[in-house]
Amino acid sequence: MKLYFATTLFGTYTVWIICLIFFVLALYFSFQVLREREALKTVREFSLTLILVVFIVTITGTFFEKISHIIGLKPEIYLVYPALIDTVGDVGSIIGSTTTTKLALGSLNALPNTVQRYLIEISSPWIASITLFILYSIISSFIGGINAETHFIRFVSQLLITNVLAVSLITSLSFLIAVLTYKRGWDPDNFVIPLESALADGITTISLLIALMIL
Amino acid sequence: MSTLSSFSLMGSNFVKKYGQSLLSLSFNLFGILAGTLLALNLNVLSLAEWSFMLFPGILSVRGSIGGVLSARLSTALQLGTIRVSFLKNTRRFHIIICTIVLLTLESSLVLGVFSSFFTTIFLNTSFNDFLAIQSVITATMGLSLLLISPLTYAISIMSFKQGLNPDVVTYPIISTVADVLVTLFYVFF
Repeated sequence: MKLYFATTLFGTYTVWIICLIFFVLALYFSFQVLREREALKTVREFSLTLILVVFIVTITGTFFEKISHIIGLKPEIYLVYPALIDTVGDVGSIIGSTTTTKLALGSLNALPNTVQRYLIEISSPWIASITLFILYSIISSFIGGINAETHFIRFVSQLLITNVLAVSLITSLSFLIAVLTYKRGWDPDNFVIPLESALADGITTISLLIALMIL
Repeated sequence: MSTLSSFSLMGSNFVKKYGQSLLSLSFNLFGILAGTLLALNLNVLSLAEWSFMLFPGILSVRGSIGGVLSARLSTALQLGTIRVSFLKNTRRFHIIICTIVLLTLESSLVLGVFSSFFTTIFLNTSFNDFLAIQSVITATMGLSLLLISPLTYAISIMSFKQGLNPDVVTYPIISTVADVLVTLFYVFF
């Protein structure tokens, strides 16, 4: 952004040259694997995921733009934003991979003991994520210079509301994606993490927007 | 008595799982570095109305490609279809890397077109903005590929050599490092 919008045209031209070099190199690499079955399968499966991912993240971007209107240039939300979306995404990926492994091993069934153990596996990353959200708010308040106690409490509450809304939804969706992918016999490497992480980003951004509007 | 021991077993199981989850999720604390970079350069993002709209998209798409790369490398390392070395690797390693370059190019183009479409609808942007959006996305994705791919491979082989499971270690580390690098490239290019 800084270079592209520099006052002289030099910056814009530099960015264009980087793009051109990347484009040429990417085409060169692509031609080397165009006849490989494995590469074609990955590109085909990922393209399907990509359309969905890009659609979701563009909507996420629209909500993030709305957040920027609400909070203006206050730094504390921007400070924690990447950490929030990553944490929710990781909780989703823990649930997704746990479910996929259990399905593959055939150990996921409706017996009370199994359900109990599965609930422990779901609740432990969730509570760990709540611990981290509280830690983020403390660090961010310190770096961002929040001094007033009421402002700090409001900020912690906003992050906790975001956590409850986002993690409950991503947990259910990750479970659903893992089960559906497994049932269809698709390669989970190409679907579960990419889809789940894009959904997590969108869900966290919308949850943050809701929390900011509530408090 | 059996109910009590069952509760105690559940409790210790929970504490163990909680500890593991906290350890793995705590890599995200470094995400605050990416956030700090963003917060320090909010004036740069104010240069174009669409810049806030693009940021989560670039992070997510870059993260998805990183996820595919780390998953493929981990599987290949464990199956022994790629060598634990940087130079003179197998044909399969070559295919994985070329595929990731192709996916990055495809993602940059698709993200650019979708973002331009949405910014035209919501922000009434012009053709010049389309050019700027496509250039910023492609440069950011291209530069991040150049640094993040070797890093992903380095972390995969280091964890594999140490006897750790790259499936568990690589993605959480690389997704956080990628966020910092992508934010850096996005803001400065």
